[in-house]
Amino acid sequence: MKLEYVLYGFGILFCIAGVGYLAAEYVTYLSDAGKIGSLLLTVGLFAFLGKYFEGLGW
Amino acid sequence: MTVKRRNLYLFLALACFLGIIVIFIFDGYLGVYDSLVMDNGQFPQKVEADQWQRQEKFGYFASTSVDRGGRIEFTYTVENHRFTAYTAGVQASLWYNQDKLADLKAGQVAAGAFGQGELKWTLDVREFVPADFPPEQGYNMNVDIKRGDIVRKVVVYISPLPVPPKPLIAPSR
Repeated sequence: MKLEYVLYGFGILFCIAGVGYLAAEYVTYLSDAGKIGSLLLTVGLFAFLGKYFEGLGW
Repeated sequence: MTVKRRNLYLFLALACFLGIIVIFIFDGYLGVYDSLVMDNGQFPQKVEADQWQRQEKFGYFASTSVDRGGRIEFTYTVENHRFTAYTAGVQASLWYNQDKLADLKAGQVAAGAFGQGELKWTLDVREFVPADFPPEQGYNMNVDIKRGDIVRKVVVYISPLPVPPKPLIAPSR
């Protein structure tokens, strides 16, 4: 059971790392306005996700 | 916290994620992109906008070839994916190593918002290959296209003339 969670953890980490890497590669080609917009939306994304999980009782 | 309110936060998070994706797509589309078609009379060759980036990054040069008496028609297109009109001066010149051989074209390229503008010129290579250059050897020239601070380079390779084989003389007996 615990081993499964460790594997899930690895999977999630690799997914986040992969998406993060691709985003970092792509961000270099974005304009300044696009970078600011993406940053604000990323902050909003994590803020709303945080509120959602807070509502779930995490 | 009510379920409805909690779901609202989830939808807002999803909306932010979609917004990021939309920015990535739309921002990539916006900009000024240039391409070049080189037609040597046998097959037209197109240098797409993203190929110029490879040229900047890896030192790769697009090239075309033509026979010694041939002509190449160049069509330089600027696509304006912006909300405002775009105008720029374009100068095309011909070079052999560090020596400038000729100015091929100079003009303005203008493109309206989300429109395109183009400039055409013809290169007749007969005028620029030295008469005493051995016909059995190839010859290289560069075409530089300058638009504002941006310089695009393409290599023009002039193929050697086919040399008929010399008849073998049978040794006398």
